[in-house]
Amino acid sequence: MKTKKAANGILTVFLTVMILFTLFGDALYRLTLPKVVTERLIRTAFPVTVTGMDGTTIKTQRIAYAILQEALNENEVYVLKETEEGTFLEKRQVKTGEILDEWIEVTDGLSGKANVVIGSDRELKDGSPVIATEWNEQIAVHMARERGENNPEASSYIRKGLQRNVVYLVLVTIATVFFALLCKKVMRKRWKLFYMPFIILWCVLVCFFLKEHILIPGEWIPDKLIDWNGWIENRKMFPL
Amino acid sequence: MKKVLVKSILVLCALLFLLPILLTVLHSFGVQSVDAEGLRLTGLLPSGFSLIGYYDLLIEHFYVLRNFWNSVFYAGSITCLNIVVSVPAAYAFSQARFKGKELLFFFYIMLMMMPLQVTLLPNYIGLRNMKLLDTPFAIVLPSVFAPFSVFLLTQYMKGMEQSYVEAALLETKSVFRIMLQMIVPQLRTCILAVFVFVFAEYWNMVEQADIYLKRETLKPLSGLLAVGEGLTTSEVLAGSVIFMIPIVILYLYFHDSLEVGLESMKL
Repeated sequence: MKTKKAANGILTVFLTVMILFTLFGDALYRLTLPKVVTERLIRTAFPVTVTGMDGTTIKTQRIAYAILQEALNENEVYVLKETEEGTFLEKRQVKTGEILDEWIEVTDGLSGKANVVIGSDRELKDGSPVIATEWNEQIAVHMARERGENNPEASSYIRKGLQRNVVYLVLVTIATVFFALLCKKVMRKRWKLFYMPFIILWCVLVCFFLKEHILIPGEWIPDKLIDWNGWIENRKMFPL
Repeated sequence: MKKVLVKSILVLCALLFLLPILLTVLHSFGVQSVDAEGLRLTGLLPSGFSLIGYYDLLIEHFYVLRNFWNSVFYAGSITCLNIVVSVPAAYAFSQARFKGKELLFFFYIMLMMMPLQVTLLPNYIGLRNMKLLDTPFAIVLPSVFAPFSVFLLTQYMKGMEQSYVEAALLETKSVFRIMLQMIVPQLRTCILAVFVFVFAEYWNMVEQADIYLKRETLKPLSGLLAVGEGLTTSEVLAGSVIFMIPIVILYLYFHDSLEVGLESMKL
């Protein structure tokens, strides 16, 4: 009898875990990948002053490739590399030239088709897989922190998002308890048989449905979700 | 003193048998459990605790779960169909009287004794001619008609009281009705034992999947772990632990039926 109870418990947990990972493995994997914003090289006009032999000066322009200065980190940039297995980062050394507003000329190291990373939601590593996305507040917050700036609007977004998370959590908990009581009422004697896997699956389905609205700052996600040795170093709490 | 010595030796032998499983489980939770070449464990106990292997297997290489469900499908369907086919066959071998019954049973035993590698090529040719290669039927069909369960069930039925069958024949002439309503309920423990044996055998199959299937999406998890292509050693160790769990669950459910069934078969 005890053995059968143990077998029931192990089977319930095992099947639930395998079904969850089968259904949501892709979503979990994408959750752990850094989100990056990219920009292609642009051909822009840099002003040039030409002095003639007779001393006259002519202001003209020369066309050159340029990237946003935010993408540059000590003459190194990250470029997206598309492969069959996904999108990866590639670090490249570049030679730069003149600066024009927020743009900087690139004289060597990048081709016109390169997709240069100009922002991310966490620290990047050469060769790591990434997901290309649009600008969002999470990326803005991380970029601002890297520059040592305070971005009040983005900080407010993160704070409100985390408060919203708490509200969702409370709602899901109340609904789960209600669902469990309903199971007990309807199924009577056999409710325990169906209770556990249904409750877990139902909770995750609700969270999955709400995942677009659940906010998880990129810095909260360490490089490897369950690398205990690097957990403390990688996980950073966002200051509220 | 003698009892203590004997018990100690038995415990030691049991630990030796369990050692590969224990090492697999321990090192699946370890950090840097293998050397740089990935051939040897770094020590008996892993250094540090990490779920990296499980993370990499279940999240980064989540497609491996598709192979796990393939294994569940193949083992489950082969076992159920095998029992459906074997019970009437065993009933015929034990109860029916026809010419050549003993010779036919002898061929069944011979087929059971043949190693798998002998029948791989004829099966491959047959499946190729039927255009079933690289489909799930290539795995399921040859295994459904395996003779092992027929042999076990026949041995069990031969040991049953004939008076039950004779009494049933007085009530009805329908063979199927006698088999389903009288014989099968008495075969319950034996059927459960056969279920466990057949499921365990086809849960661990490697060669059939390697020869009959080309697409990775159709292969079972056993084949993937045996080759280990595209997986690191920690992922293979984690996959092995996950692969062991269904068989352990099966044993926990049916271990008493297994013992009773094996005793009753009088092999």
